[in-house]
Amino acid sequence: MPHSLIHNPTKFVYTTATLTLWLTIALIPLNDNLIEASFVQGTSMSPSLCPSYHTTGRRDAVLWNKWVDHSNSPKGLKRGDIVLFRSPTRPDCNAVKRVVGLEGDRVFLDPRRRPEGDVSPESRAWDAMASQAGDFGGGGGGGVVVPPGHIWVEGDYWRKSQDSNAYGPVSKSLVLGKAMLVLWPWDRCGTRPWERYRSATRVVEGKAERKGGEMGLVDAIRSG
Amino acid sequence: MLRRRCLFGLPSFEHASLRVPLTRNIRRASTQPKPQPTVTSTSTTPNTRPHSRFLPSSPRLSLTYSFTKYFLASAILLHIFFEYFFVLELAWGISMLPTIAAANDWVLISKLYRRGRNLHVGDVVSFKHPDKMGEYAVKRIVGLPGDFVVEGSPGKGGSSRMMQVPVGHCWVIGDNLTWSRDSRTFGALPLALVTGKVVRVFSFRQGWRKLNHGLQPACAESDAVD
Repeated sequence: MPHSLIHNPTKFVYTTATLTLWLTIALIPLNDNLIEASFVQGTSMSPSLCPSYHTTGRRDAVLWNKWVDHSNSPKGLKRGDIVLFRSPTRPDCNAVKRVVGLEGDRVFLDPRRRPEGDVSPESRAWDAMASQAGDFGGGGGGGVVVPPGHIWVEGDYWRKSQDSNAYGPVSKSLVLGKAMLVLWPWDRCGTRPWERYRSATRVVEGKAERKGGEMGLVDAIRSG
Repeated sequence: MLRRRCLFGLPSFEHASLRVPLTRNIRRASTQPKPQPTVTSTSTTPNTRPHSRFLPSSPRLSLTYSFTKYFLASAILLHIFFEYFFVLELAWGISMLPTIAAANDWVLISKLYRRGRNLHVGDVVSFKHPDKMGEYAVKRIVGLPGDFVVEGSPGKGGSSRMMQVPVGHCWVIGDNLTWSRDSRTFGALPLALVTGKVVRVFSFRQGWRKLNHGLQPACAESDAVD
């Protein structure tokens, strides 16, 4: 440490304060674009995340990779990833769920995951989705086809999870990042507990369609 | 004593480095009244710059550090300004045609309205496209959560079914009804995708112009004029 800082307390406080301030400000673009750590709460992702939330209320801290390649390349989102995304129903809240289906996939609805209530809008929308897909005697080929640019997300805890079964496929533009590591609690620090869990929802993988689904003018020219 | 240039109080290279000035015989009288007795150097030439035997002060290194510091600081501040306050972007496309030209029009987007805060029906918003990753679009809000909107464009072969905009979503339509891909194609737009509201439009021909509220309530007086 330079002499001037040791022997000048005012300068020392000033320098430390400004350095702290600048480091805090630098966190904003870092969190927006690169990496972020945040606490996850709720039971919907147990047993992968917050396994004891319903009894102890213990939350998990997760490190998110926000430099996500959203394209269809192998480096982008994969089935089984845990994603952080803005809730489609509550714009100022974030949600954490598992990617079950990518665009073009055929997701077979799990009747256990039907939203609660007989007349709630979510359950009625789910019924409409299921009958349209033909899972329960409808006209479709069975399963919901995830539209282009969207993903199908589900919580690991099927009893209580507000997910794509309630609000349908989620736009990939809403995705903020995907989980890298668990940071807290200490005994699970550095692990990726979601990799040991396999979703029971049946998914038939579809061929990734062209970006946007419909052919744009440039694409039409390119393909002749 | 040297006066070091500081950017908003960010310490300069000499402060941030770990080097220990071994020889320093010029001190500011006000802050350092008594000279340091620990100085053992026997150098006779007065040094105006603190320096060390281990890390000689290099003008080039100092310049690099200073440049990096200014670059990072301005990048951080610009990111915050563009992401959370205002951004000016070039709009392209014919979907908003009477309001925003097909080319060469710049839109000033206020990020204070991001994620649908304080938005009203008739506002022109910029949003991330829900189907096409990495693309942005500018359209006009026609319905907010709970409003009833027509699903297609009636009279043009589209469906005239009414639907209620779901919670947390909005219904956006381009001003150029016939040449616009909007909520009629991709459905209700999550408000979380709204990045901001277009408050001004700029073009080099016409300068700055305000955006008029496109949707006025029908009033009886206007009929009585005729």
